[in-house]
Amino acid sequence: MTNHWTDFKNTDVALICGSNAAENHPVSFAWLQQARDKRGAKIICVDPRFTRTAARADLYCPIRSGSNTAFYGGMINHIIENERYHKEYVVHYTNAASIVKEGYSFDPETGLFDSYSEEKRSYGKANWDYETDWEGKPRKDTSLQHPRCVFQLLKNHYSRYTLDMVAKTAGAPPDKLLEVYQLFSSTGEVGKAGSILYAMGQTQFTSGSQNVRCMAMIQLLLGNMGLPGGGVNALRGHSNVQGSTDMALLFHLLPGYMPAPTTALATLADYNATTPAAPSYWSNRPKFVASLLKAWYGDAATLENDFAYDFIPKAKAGKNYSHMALFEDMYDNTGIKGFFIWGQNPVVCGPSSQLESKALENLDWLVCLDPFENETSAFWKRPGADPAGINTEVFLLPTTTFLEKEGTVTHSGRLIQYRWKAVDGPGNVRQESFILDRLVNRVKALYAASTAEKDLPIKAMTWDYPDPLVDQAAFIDAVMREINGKDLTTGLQVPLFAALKDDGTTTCGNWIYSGMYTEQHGNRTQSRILDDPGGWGAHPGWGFAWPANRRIIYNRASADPSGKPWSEERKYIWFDEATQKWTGYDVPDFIGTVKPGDPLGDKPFIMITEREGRLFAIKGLNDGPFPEHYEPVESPVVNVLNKRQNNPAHFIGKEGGKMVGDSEKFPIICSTWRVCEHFHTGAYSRNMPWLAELMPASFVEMGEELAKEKGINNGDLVELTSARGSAKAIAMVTPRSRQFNIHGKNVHQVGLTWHFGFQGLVKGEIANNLTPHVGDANTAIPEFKAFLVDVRKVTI
Amino acid sequence: MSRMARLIDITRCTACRGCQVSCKRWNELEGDIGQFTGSYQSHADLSPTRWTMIKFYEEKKDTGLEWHFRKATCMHCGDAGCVKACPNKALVQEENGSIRWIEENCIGCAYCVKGCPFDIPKIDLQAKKMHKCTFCYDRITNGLTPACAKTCVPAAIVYGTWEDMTKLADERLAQAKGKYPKAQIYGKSELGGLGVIYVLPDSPANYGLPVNPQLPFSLGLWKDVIHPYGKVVLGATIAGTALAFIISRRNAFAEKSSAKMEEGGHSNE
Repeated sequence: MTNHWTDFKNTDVALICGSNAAENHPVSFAWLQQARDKRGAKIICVDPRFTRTAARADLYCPIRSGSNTAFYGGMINHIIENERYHKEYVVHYTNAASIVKEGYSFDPETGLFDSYSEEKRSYGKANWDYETDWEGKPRKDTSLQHPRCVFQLLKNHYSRYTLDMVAKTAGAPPDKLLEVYQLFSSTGEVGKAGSILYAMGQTQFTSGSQNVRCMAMIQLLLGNMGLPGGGVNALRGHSNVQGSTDMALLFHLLPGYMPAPTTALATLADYNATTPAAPSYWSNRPKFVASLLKAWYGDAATLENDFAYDFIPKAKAGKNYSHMALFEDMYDNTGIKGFFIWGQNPVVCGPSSQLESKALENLDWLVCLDPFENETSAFWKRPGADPAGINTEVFLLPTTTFLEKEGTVTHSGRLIQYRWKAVDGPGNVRQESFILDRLVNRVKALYAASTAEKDLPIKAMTWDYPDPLVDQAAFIDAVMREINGKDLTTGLQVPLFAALKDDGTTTCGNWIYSGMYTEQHGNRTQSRILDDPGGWGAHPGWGFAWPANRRIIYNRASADPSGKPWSEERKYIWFDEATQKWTGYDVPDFIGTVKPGDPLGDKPFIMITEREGRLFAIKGLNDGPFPEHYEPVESPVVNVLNKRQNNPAHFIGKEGGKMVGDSEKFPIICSTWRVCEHFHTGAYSRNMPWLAELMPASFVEMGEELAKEKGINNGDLVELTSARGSAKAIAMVTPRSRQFNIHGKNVHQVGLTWHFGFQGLVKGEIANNLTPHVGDANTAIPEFKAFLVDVRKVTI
Repeated sequence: MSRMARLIDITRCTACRGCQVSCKRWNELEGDIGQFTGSYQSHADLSPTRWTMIKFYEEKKDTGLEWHFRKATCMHCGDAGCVKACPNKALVQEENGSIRWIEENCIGCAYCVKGCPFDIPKIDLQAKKMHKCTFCYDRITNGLTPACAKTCVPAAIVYGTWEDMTKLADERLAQAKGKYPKAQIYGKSELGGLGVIYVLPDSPANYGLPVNPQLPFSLGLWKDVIHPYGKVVLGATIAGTALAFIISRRNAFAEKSSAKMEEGGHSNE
């Protein structure tokens, strides 16, 4: 999130789209309700289905799954056509005035941007850049009139997204759609703020990244970035999923969102050459990498040996190691012999479950760490499998649950909070960090006597923490200190990442977490001070929010170019003339000494080289510098906005990509979703009688028209089939599900919960038997939210 | 302690059902995994191990679809039918408004079931005991809020004095009218004022509540005329309506009629 949970109380309009916040993030409604009580805020829900969120919203507008970009494109068009944008903000804080190179183009006929290679399924992005002057700076037209300035290109691009076109593409009632556009764009007014809340209903599409881009663009246009009550706010799916991405549990990253080295970046110099240019704050990246390597390899990392950069395993350049790609490699049996799965249950949560279950059969060994024997550790006895024919040796290491362990979690608002153990785990179960400690020590012992150069990384890796068996808290304390970073010349904790150096005199396990454990403040994640200066809910003494304990990022943008708050009503960060410093109710997201009148003094987006919010993404995402609507890989309708049916650069699994269904055989749009009562794959909640009681079975929500057509009654057992497989579930026939009219064609949409599997107190067939092995063009996140099925009534 | 109450504002409830779980946790009630009902609602009704639950109501209206969630629970009535019906002082009205159940006195006769206009008391047929919401008597008498109110995220359940809750209900009603013009308060005047005051989006009938709840006529007789002497003379002197009432109850719960009742007295009280 750019903002945070408590900040929802500051909003005037909350747009919940692609999220079922009331059900899956119930706490959000504590704050949204406060916004209603205190500010008369309005809540908008945009969703294919009338959910519990819709029930509590002031305005509901249905759109079919897979039409998000069209919906947002229409919003952008509405904002521009009706001049609802915050002009001064747009001119000063975004790249709207920058002029784009002449070679850039988009053809609405083909649906392609310039320089596309059909063979490679990728773009040459050279033209997606600014035209520069003799100094190399982007040329600008602050009147926003130049035909190639970003604003005009934007206006032109989205002029096709008329209300009528979007309503027909999304299957939305035009009056409701217009009401949504009008209400949300009212926050473009100075003094107002609108917040967008989203979740997997934006991201789990082949164009998921572009959906997120749309939200950022809208918030820039309306001047909603950096303000309390504004922002683009991802409601993350686990209590600590933010922490896991921060710490780089992703193949393409190092901790703190630095790219993972590949074979194309053989030396540290090569790696550092990819650093974003100054004045982007990212230009400090070499300091963060050097400090990370010093933390990992200690004395073995020196300035002379590139801080042992060679020790980091390099991914093959261009190779995808994301979830689907990994399982496809395993399925092809191309060399993956063993597999550790920590707190994940891919047999239930991965797409094309049969393919992924089959892939596990090719392993020699599988280690699962989980509090319960979930469907993944039990994959060898799954329904239909022959255990005698499966040679994978499975080790299940039972672990503690979140109540039985100690350490930090980082929530969606980037707030790192320490949590103390409530109770001991039963029997001999262990906290994962204990298991990790024993594993590392065992591996290091095995290599201790080796003199081979290839074994050096294992030998050199620092692992000098107190024994967690003796004192778990001391172990965690040492790890947290290392993550914060240390000045090796003084032996003291660094106060913040700004103190990190690229000469080997500092260590830091994750630069964005630096500042959480300092000499001055101690372990700030344990701090529980409730003070709230300004009353905006920033609570700077409660835990520690990365970066630098900043609760709202880009908050310089809450003030105008001259450093004064845009309005007294939303006074948050400002330049104090008396002290000649930036100040406010939060940690200013700006360099304190740079005054408003100084060069770059009015440029709040400090992570970007041009320090402006990008309405046009130079060098782009893989699928274009502007989001464009493409149909999901499986769709019952043709793309009318342009003639390219699907995203031109989306991820296609080698095996999974072969299993794509056609709309003749599978005419119904299907989506998978969660319910409040179950957690993720259900490993916790389906083993918990009180929760199992609340939602005892997997069910399919379907509209009354479809049910009538298929002779299905509420409570009947039905079977969904797709090109991948089938899943039985119980029908819930409800007017809350509906059919959509898409450009004259009636299309049904159904959806089912995906929390169920064949283990636990309550069981159900795996929804991901149905889902395709295709994913987003940039992140390869699977397209769980829109695919095709057919449905029929069955008997047991 | 003054009379306490819970405000339950249906127009805010998101049906997260935290209250349903937190009630079970505090009261150490077992999980009761049933069949899928074709709705988000977990079971048709309350049970001896489920003292509160969210009931789901889909409403197709001219103005559009609505979906509402009512927390069903004991109302802790001001004029409590169950207390009047109970022949064995297993239910008492406390000063704080709680209709408290005294386990050792309960004989599972189910008279309270008939006496309740909201169909709240549930009988455990094996143990021959009635069960219902206690208003977290153990918590509120120790300065804590009821478990359901404590866990409620959007402040749809609020706990406080009866006066404060009725006042808050007025405020909430004004707010709710913006979206639900037919919104109304339920529980302020019904049955001597209920210990649960609802803010409802529409008529109580839409959410499974009696529009004008009344105690059974026979109950008045039992409590006010016969019951005062019943302990001594039950079985020998009763006649007419009261007799018919008791017999009908006995028939309904023949299996678990009380031995004490058959002895004609409650001397062990």
